Amino acid sequence: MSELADLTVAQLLDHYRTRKASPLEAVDACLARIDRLEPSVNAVTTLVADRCRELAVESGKRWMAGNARPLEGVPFGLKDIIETAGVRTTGGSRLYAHHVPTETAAVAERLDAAGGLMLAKLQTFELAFGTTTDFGITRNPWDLGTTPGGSSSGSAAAVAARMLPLAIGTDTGGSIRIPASFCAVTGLKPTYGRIPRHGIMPLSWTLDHAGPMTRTVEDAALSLAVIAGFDPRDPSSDGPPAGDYSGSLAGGVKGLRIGIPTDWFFEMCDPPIEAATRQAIATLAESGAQLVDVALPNAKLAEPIGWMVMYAECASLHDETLDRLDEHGKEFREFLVSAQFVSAADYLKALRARRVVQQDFESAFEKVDVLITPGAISVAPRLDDMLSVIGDRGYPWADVISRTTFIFNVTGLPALSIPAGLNRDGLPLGIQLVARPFDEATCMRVGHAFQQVTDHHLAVPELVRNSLSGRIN
Amino acid sequence: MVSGPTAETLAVIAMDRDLEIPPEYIEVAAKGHRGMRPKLQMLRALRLQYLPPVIEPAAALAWIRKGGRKE
Repeated sequence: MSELADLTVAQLLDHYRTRKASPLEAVDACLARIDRLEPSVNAVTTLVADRCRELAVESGKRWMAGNARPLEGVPFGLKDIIETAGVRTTGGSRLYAHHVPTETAAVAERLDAAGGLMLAKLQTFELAFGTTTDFGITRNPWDLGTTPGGSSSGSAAAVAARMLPLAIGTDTGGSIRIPASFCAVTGLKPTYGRIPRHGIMPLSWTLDHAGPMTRTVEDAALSLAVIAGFDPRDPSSDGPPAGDYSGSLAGGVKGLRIGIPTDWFFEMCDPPIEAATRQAIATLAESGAQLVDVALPNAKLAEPIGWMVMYAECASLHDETLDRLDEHGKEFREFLVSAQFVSAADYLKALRARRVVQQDFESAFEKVDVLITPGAISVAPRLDDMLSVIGDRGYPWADVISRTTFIFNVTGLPALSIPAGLNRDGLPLGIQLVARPFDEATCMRVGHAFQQVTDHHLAVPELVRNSLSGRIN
Repeated sequence: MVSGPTAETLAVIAMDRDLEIPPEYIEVAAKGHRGMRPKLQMLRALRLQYLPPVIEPAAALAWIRKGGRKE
């Protein structure tokens, strides 16, 4: 027994294919789930129910007529910095609370064209930075007293709460992968340029990425195949055409060389997360992977590089509204004011130094096919203190939480966060898989292999388990 | 080692850039910059060579485009 809202993208498509359910029934199941859990979770900024239901009817007809598209009838949500023509896009900011775009972002256009059904715009920290938003606090479905992380807070919470099987998040320093770790969701930050950023409110053009957040790697592969690929409207858009990522999932890990960093990644990490990562390494080895230690001596430079770049580019991007500082929330305002004081010399040094960090990975990938690291270095902080607890000490989360993630925005490498268990308090732990530029397929192949022999990704929050209605066979 | 800019320093920079930022916000920014100082000094200590091959900002993007292969 399961509810339609509990099904993954792949399962939903199978249900449609075999006439076990229709897109309209799936949309209504998601709406019912949102209706029940949204008062507790607050993942949704704007619901687009009527339009979505109308499109679901059309999707149903396509399935019946045998001309269904790749994601035909799959409900999805978009982080609310992704523009949607005719549907407000707030950026989680008072400044844009009534902004109704006239164009739709490339990633949303592609999902629409593939038959996806946009059901909701999802909560984001203000303009993809910090912790807060003018649209209320989003809570982690695994423990409503904790944050889902961010800035793709609503995307992670909605997928974890089974409100939607697919959400698109964005990631400038870890904003897909950190909430994915906190919420036991699968989150992919692809290679820089892999998914066009056209129509997405920017935070830092050198570091911004968009990517899918789903419950399984299989679903991430189905989604990436639809949204990846060149778009001339994004100057950073690049890479080979999107491939059949699903087809490469089944390769397993036998013979693959998996790198284990000897620097940086395990030096500051909550012990249960390190243990989960080591266990995942052992599991992959049992499945036939070869383990190789790799040195990354310049990894420590990634944080200052990332911060300098993000500060400088954010300052430039928000120049237009610098005289409206008081309309920002406290965190974004503080960030934006600090950003004014980064020198051109430091910014350019940071941009050049990216190549130094990349050289570490260039060497590493001569010896290995994929790297494995902890995901977020702590579990989800409590909302009342926002401390990342590592061992027996708490740190302000913003100071430490991007330690394992920012480096892959700086280098542009694809990085996949997948669930790796729960801690003693029942909070999710994540691991991260990283591959060469544009080799998302290998990240997902390893992640899928892991999900075939473990069940961490199948864990369901108690909040959802207790939510009963509309069950189907 | 310098411990980072004071609020007075940042106020002068703001004035030079024709920015009108309330003093209380500049005070917070100065504190933030002082907190970040050790990491920034680590970046500043990195020496990138002048003689070719010179690393330009575009080199990072080029590396990604080439699939992470050596230049």
